[in-house]
Amino acid sequence: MWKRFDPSRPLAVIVGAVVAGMLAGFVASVLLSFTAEPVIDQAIALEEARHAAEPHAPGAPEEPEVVARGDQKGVGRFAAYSFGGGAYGVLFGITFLALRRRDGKTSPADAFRRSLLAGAFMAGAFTVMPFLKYPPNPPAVGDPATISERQWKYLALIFLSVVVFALAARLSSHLRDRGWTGDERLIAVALAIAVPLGIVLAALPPYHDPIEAPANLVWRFRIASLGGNLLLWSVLTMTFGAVAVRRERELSGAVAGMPAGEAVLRPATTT
Amino acid sequence: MSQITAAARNTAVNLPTWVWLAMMLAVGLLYAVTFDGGLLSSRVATSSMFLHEFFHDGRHLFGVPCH
Repeated sequence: MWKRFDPSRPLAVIVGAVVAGMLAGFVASVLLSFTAEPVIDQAIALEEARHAAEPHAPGAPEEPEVVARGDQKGVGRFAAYSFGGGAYGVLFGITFLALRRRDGKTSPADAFRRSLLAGAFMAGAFTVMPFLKYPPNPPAVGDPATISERQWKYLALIFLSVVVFALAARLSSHLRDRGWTGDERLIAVALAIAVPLGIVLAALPPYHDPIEAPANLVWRFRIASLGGNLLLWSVLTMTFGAVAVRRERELSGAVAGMPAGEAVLRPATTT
Repeated sequence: MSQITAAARNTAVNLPTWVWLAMMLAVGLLYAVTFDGGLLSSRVATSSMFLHEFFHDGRHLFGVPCH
């Protein structure tokens, strides 16, 4: 399997990124078992207490439980994070491929740099930007009547962030072709990301739902969620990047016929 | 010689078409995990809210708006 992973082949990149993403989702889910689940349980207890306090029609049937609570916090969340991580992996892999330099002037370390960039873009668009504008809420928060309105706002924010990152990458490659090097290009691209993202954050309308759950509970949930999602992106980026740069070194060494002295620096693969 | 082959490793810039198919699959999977409210679920499970309930905690934690 190791031998078949070539960071310059699209199929290998996508498959590798899906594996890394599923692993990352699993790892993040393990963390969330400890950080988020106690908070979610509290929020659900609050929600149920609120329901119980409402006047019930006599003899009204209880809401049937479709999925047991234990499954939601166990296998359900692990499945959500593994599938979600795998899907994020596909998008990460496409970003990694799209960030290839057009001029072919590249070194093996470029594979790691592109992984970091792809991971940063993805985490920015899918986790950090939504967190800044529409932070995640625990159960017991949210009015079902406004759900579709909140969904389109949330999707619009992610979509606009992706567009900004894609245009910034375009701009970067364009400026490089025009001979901009080093700091100038970095500053121009950083501005081309930060300013439009700021405008997006300011321009999109906020959620209007009142939050009646205790602020402390809500924020503990939000921090736990942010930690889990950032861990997912870190693990995905680091495992994929580390493997990609190693394989890139091996393969470019094999292709270019590196001097033997160079090869000694890398331990031979044992597989 | 060595330079030519080394460059050839990275100059294939255009992505193959199937990559976009993979992207749509990924988006579909994300939909099933985070947005499905019955459209998919009623086809794959006995309850239209099965996926919604099964992925309940994950969806909240991914930060997707939910009830």
